[in-house]
Formats: sequence, C-alpha cells, structure tokens
Amino acid sequence: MNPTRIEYIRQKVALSPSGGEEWTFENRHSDFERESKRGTGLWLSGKRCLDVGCGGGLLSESLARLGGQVVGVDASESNIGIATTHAQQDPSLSTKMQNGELKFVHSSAEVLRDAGEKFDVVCAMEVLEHVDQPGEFMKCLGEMVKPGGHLILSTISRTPLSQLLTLTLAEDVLRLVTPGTHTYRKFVKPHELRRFVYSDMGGYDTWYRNEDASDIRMEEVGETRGIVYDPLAGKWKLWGGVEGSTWKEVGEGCNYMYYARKRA
Amino acid sequence: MRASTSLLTVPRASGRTICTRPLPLPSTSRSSINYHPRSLHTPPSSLVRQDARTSPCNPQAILSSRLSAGRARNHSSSAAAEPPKAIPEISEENSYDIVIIGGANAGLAFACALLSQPTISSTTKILLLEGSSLDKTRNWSGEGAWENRISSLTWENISWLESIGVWKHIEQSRSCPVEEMIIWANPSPNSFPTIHFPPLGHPMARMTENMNLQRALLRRIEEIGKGKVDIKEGKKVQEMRLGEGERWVGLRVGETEWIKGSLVVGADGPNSPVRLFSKIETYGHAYQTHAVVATLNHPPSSLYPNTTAFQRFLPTGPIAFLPLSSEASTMVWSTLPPHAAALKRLSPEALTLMVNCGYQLPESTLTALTDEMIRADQLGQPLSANQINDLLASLPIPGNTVGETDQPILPPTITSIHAPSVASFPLRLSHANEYLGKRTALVGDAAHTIHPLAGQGLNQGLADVRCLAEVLENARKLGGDLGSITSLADYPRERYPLNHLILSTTDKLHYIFRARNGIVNWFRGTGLEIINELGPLKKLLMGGAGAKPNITTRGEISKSRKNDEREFGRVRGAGDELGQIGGWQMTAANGVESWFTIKGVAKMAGEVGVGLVREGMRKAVGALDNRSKR
Repeated sequence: MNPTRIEYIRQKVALSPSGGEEWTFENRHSDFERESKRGTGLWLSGKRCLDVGCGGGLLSESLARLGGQVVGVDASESNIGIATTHAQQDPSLSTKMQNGELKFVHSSAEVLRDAGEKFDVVCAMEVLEHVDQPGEFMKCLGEMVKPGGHLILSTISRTPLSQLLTLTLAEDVLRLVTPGTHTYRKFVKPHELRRFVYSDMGGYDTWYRNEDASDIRMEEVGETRGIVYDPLAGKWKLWGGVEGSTWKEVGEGCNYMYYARKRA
Repeated sequence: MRASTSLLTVPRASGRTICTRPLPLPSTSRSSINYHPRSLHTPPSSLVRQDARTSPCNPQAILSSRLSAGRARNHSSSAAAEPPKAIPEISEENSYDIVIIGGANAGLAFACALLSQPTISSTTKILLLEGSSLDKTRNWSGEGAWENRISSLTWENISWLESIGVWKHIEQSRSCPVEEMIIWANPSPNSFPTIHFPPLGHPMARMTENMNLQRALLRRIEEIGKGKVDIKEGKKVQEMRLGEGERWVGLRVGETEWIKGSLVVGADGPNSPVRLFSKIETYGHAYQTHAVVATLNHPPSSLYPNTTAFQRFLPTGPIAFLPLSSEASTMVWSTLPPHAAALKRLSPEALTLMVNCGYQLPESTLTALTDEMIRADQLGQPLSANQINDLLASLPIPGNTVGETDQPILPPTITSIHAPSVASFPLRLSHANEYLGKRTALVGDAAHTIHPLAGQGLNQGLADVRCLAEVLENARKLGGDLGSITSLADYPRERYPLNHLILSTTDKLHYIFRARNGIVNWFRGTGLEIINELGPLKKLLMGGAGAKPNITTRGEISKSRKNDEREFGRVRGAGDELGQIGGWQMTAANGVESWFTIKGVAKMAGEVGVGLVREGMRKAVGALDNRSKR
C-alpha cells in the first residue's frame, strides 16, 4: 500500500501543473522528455515533510530517500523505537539520520503545532479514523501546512463495503489486523472530509479549489481518490474515474486518499 | 491497516545458527568463497561441521538433531564459544545501493541500463565488481581475428541498446546483419523440409562478438557513469554475509576490505556465487551435447551478400552457419560429446572438410563418415584431410530418387578454419527456482542457461537487465528500499514466465528436430512445409527467433527525427510504409487497444443508463408528489 500512497503524493506534489518548465512553441518537440523527467530523481528535495502517525516509519523512510527533510511523529513510544532501529539498519538512511534529514519524534501533532512548526508536505496516513476529535485533528494539520504546501491524508470511508472489508474480513475473519483496531462510527466519508475543510478550515480563502471539478465540487475543498487492492496484480492501485461519476465514488467506498493544497 | 510494523525484521539471536542444507560449492567456482548467510557470528569452520552433522541427505542426522534438541543446543553454544569474527564497521564510501557482481555482458549491460534510468542514475551509488581485470575488454582493438564468442543480438535489443546510447560505441564493421534465415533438415534423401525467413526490411538480428558488445557497454559506463558507477576489477568476492536486520549484504573483497550493498545483483554466470549465497536451487538437465564453435573462412560471393544464417538439423543436433563478414562466418555445431571431442582433435584442414560435409552430405553418408572419424580418433590417429577425401570417394552417396528437389540454398563452401578459434563447451538447460533472494537478484546466465539453437541466451539476459532496471526505477521513484521484496517483486513476475517459455520451447525444438522416427519425420516435414507457406505464422515465429518491429522509446524517436520529418504531433517514421509487421506482439497490442475501446464505450453506455434510471426515478417521485398534493 505504501508505494501506492507515495505514487499519489508524487502525482500531487511533483506533477502538479504549477511546477515544471513553461511550455513554449520552440520546445514543443521535447514535451515527452521534459514530462518524463518530472517526478523522477529527488523530487522531494528541499521540502520539509511531516508524517503524523508514522508507525514503523516506512513512509517516512521513503520520503527521506526522495530527498525530503522528514519528521516522523507517533504517539506510541515503542513505534518510534522500532522506526528508529529500522531506519538505522539501512545503509543510506543511517547517514540521513545522523544529518538530521530524517527524525523520529515521540510526540503528537498538537505539540508540534503549538511549537510553531510548519511543513511543505503534511501526511497523516490511516490516522484520522483512530482520532477521537477528527475535526480538531484536521485543523491542527491544516495549520502546520506552509502557504503553497500540501496536505495529504489516507483514511477509510463509512460504507457497508468498508464495514465488510476492514471490520468483518480483515479484523474478525482473516485477523490481518487486531480486532478492535477500527471503530465503524469513527470512519469519515470523502464528502464529509471535503466539506469540513471548506466550512471549518478556511474554505477557498485558505485552500485552492479542485479545478478539475470546480463545477460540481461547490463548497468542497480538495480531492479524494480511492485506493483498491487488485488481487490479480497483487498490489494496491489508485482508482480512476471522472470526478463526480458513480464509478469514482464506488472506488472510494473503502480506503481513499485526500489531498488539498494551501494557497501560496 | 498500516502494515509497517509487521514488515520489521528482528535480528536473529546471535548464539543460534540455523542448520541448513549443505552448501554445494561448484567445482568451477570462480574463487573459494565461504558462504554463510544468516549466521552473523559463526566462523566458517563450525558451520561446515554443523552441516555435515545435520545434512538433510542424512536422515539419521536430522532425526538425532530433532530428538536431542539439547545436543543441538550444546553444539551451537560450543560454536559460539569460538571467537566470532563480526563484520567490521564499513565506511560510508564503501556503502552502495546496488552492487553488481560480474563484469561480463549481463553485468555491464545492467550498469548501462541503470544509468539510463533518471531516478536511479541521480540517486543511487552503484558498484560493479569483477574478479578479473577488464583491461582485455577495454583494450580490445576491434581488428584482427574474430573472437569465437559471438552472439546474435535481436532487433529488439539493438533498438534498446541504441536508445540507451550503447550502440554508437559498437564497432560497426564487426557487427554483421542477418537479413534472411534458412532452416532445414534432410532426414531422408527425398525430403528437405525447409523454412525460409525472407528479409523484413531491417535485419532480424546482428551477429556481434561479445567482446565488441562488452567494450561498447564499458565505454558507455565510462562516458556517463563518472561518480555514479564505481568499478572494482581484479578483486574477487571472498565472503558474503547478510547484515543487521537483513537490510544489507556485507561483501568481503580481498583480505580485509568490506563493502555494504543494499541490493546485490548476481550477473556472475552459470555457477553464480550469488545464487549459492541466496540458496536458490536450479532445475534443468544437461543435454548430451557439446557445441563446437569455429570461425570459418570462405571466398566472398559475387551473387549474394553473406547475410543469411543457416541451420541444419542433424540427428546429433543442429549445425549453424552464421555470417560475420563477406569472407568469414562462424559455426556452432551441437553434437554428441565424443563427436565434439573428435572434431576438436582434427587438423584444421580435416575439420574444414568435415564442416563442409556437415552442411552438404546426406545424413546416411555423414553418419558413416562420422563413425569412421570416431573409430580413427579412438585409435589415437585422427583422420587427416586426405583420408577424409578418400572416404568421401568410397562412401555411397544416395541419390534423390524423385528427381525433383527442394534442396535449399546451401551455405558457401568454406576454404579454411581459423585454428585458434576452435573450441567446445557443454550445453545445459537450467532455470533458477527463483530470481530473488534476501537482498539479492539474479540476471542473465546466473538465472538461466539455454541451448544455443535459437540464439536467445544473451538476448534473454539483456531483457532481464532492462526489466530489472525499470522495476528498480519505478521503486526508487517512490522512495522504495531497492533490496526489499516489495520493490523487486515485479521483476520475476514479468521475466520468469517469458524466460520459461523460451527455455522450454527451445528444449522441445532440440528433441523434435533430433528425432529420426518415421512418424516424427512425417509430422515435422509436413509441419515445416505448412509453416513455410503460411506467412502470418512465419512472422509469428520470427518474432521469437530474432525479429521485431523497430520499437524505440518515444523519446528516442523524437531525438532521431529530422526537421523535415516533423509534422505537428505526428511522427512519420521511415518504416511506416512497411505496414504492420509486428507478429503476435502487434496482434496483442491491437487486441488490448480494442478491449479498451470496448471498455470505454461500455462505461459510457453504463453511465448513460444510470443517468436515465436516475432521471426516471426522479420523474416518478415527482409524479407521486404531485398526485399526493392533489
């Protein structure tokens, strides 16, 4: 699932339309070449990234490999220990840890916000559905995003499908996850999240609107995209579909990504 | 939901070593390497002892070790009592992301493939380790006698080498195009089942000396690899061990120098030490066949350019004639081991005669002649050229009783053989059970070896390294740990089935064409005739045997396009007028394209349907509302 999430971050952060060289008539024949170079190499270099709820630190590690200045935060001290050990065992990451490019801190998002920390990329993967006050948590994340920065979440929707997959199958039947990890009523639906950011987190004054769907996403901020497991390929994939279509909503029935960008 | 913690590996307890199967060291291994994966703290000697006791080949040993766990514990504690030689601290400059072991075709090509990938070349440190010196490759002059290690490079691979900037370093005068191919057998004097592959408009393949390719690859690495690819040559790997948390492999080169690699790629040949370290078994079988190679000289033909490859299937195996220049060609004669040995002991003049006979004589006469050759060889007096001439005069040569003949064009009669080029090697089919080990991956001959009759060995290796480089690029673009299974999983997923298909097809061809049973003869003869008449099927076969339409990456086309060939958004390629000559690949591509079209149309129809239903329901609800209001 991790590579798929990072692919989403890459599409949003590295391939966003505002980045890259300007199109001119003269360089039209090297379009493909320029396009293919975007989002390769150290595409996070110079960007300060926050990984809230870093767990074992896999996402933080990947972000650090891509050149980001990464801070991984987790509320569990043992997770921070595991993440630190794991990163130190990697030959290239251990030097990054010594240089301070990758840090794991036992702390919470609120503490960092109160300390006045700001980041270019704020990630919180699979955290929102465990938080007691999701609204406060979202506001806290939003405040830590620098102007022009990116807010990227992944969480689970509140649908019969997600109940079947995450609660019944993954927890009770297959025991991939410890039973009791998730609570159905804490899940957040995609449109609830988009509307919350519009109504409670500053709306279009603070965040860019989703230009791909500005006609149908009235009073909503950001983009959601489903992540589904493809059993034939054996990996997670980003769900496609046109904004606003039923097809796209089907894909967001269980796991989905959320993305919003703060105005510069 | 987050799987991160479960992926963590805890380092193994230090005192206990794991009893594994004995590690067979190959007799022809490049160096005496002590392999003890996983056992960080056990000196080599104790491991060998332990293996001897608990070898799975010895059921009693297994039983006793299972029954008396206490004894086993004692044993391992005594092993721990010997001072363990831990891996010393490895400096940062000796830490690499990718370590390639082996500086031959696959290893060098892999380094070039990695350099052509933007993310890999800008973010990773790569090391190429070669046990011997690369000076011979570096200083190869590209002149003089032909090397005897020559491979056919398929059009697909040439296009790829061109796109990554290697082909321009190839000595063009030493690379011969193969435009046509004639394959035939002659099981009885009256039948000549033949397939003729006509010219395609571009060469099917190019015969290129391995040295030529290797020098070009090395030059490319030296051209763009400064500071990205380090080359350590003349240093053998003495020892390999998995590091802390199985996150890297420690390699000892020389006496004291240690190197850390996140991913170790074994491009180290059929007896791959990396494969042994990873404990990957192979399966396969030896063919009771050795291949004799030699460079053949013949006068230039005034009629035809020497660009046709010939292969004749004899009951002992195929004999191939592959063009090198207008006056030279190379031979690969796969035959029984005693025959190969006897052929090698012949004088160059006698061998010249024998090779001509191999292409030209009817099978019965050739068999009689070969029997004479073996008999003389066993007496310690190999046949001389004169004796062979005498035999040819006395042996009966059966005539064609039907009169009409389909006998194919034969290769030119050779006049001499370059004596130092004569060599032979055993043929073997083998395929590794897996391509990935812990922090290791296998490419090329380390993963599979094949019968040379289809000329696919090197081409498979190049396809492997191209695929692995792409997989690593995709993983690195997303910040992946290059040595992890997650990052590498796509490589075997893509290559294993394809390699297996080629290996098993070649294997079957070997046995089908060797058989001389009446029924097999009939089916094979009829089958080949049908194939020869069916254009599309032939093109399909050519797709596998060397030809493919010119597929370069889009970027490459735009680079090589000239100004007058440009139209807005459209490429007018030179090959467009040839139409679709893609064989099954093009058919598959067309199929996929139409599938997506159908899918798109179906989706649109579905959405329209859903819209209509929605609209209908809305209207129904409205109507109900109105009625209730009334």
